[in-house]
Amino acid sequence: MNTTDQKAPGESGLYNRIAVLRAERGISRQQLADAMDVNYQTIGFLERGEYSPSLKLALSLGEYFALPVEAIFSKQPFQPLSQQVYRTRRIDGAAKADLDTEQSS
Amino acid sequence: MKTELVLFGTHINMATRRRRRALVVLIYAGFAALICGSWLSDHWHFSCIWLLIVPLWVNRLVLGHYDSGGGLVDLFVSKETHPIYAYDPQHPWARLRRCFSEPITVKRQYTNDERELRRRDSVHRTAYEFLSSIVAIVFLAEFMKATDLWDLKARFLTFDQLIYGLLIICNIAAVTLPQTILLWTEPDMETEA
Repeated sequence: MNTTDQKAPGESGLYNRIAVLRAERGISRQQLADAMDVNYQTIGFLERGEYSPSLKLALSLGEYFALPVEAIFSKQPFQPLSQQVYRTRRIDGAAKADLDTEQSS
Repeated sequence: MKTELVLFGTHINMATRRRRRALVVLIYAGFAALICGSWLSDHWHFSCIWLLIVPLWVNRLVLGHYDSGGGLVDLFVSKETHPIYAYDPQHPWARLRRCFSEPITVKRQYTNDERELRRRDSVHRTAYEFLSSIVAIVFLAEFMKATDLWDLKARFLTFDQLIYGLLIICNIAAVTLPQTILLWTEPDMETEA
């Protein structure tokens, strides 16, 4: 079930976070396109999932955003970043609580 | 692919697929009119020379060309055009070219990225299939003539005229079809980066 309200990917069959990452870093399509040495329309096609990039372009995007490729592209719908961060914090908090309990006992 | 068509200094927005499709229909309607006009004037004897020249000029001005830089479709070759065209604006040939198309100054206009290269290959494949079918028709017609299966002499078109007409279509398609398929199939383009 799609829990994230993401629309299904286009022809590529891949979900991606390029638009989110771009917005987060405040860069335009043109700036990203220049950095990747592609046409800015290609960035639009990638964001809409209408084009699956080559391995070289995917790795370049990962390098540019300083993220692993699987954090940018996925065959499964992505969880929202805020939800992932919250879950990570909860796990960290639970682990810390366990550690404190162990130490006190 | 460009979002604007520059025609004799006039910038025409062609970002939407609807407009591009209308342009393609207009171009092929023009070619059809030219073929009919040429037939009516002298049965493709001398006037057919225009059917060889006009597609090249339509490419250069409107569609885009393998070696020009003018027209909507970017260069299909991923390399710089002749330096004279791009970098010596005072060269007579470059000055003449400026009357018809803007000089290429941006690297992106003569290089294709990976998506554009894939699209280029795809449209050439489709165009090749169409051209193959015309060649097959020519072969079939020759076969029918050789085996007396179909007597075309009784009809309004002689056999040679039929072959000639098919080759004219073949010539127009060979020169223009990849670009027009691209214009027809590409979705609406974003003008704002």
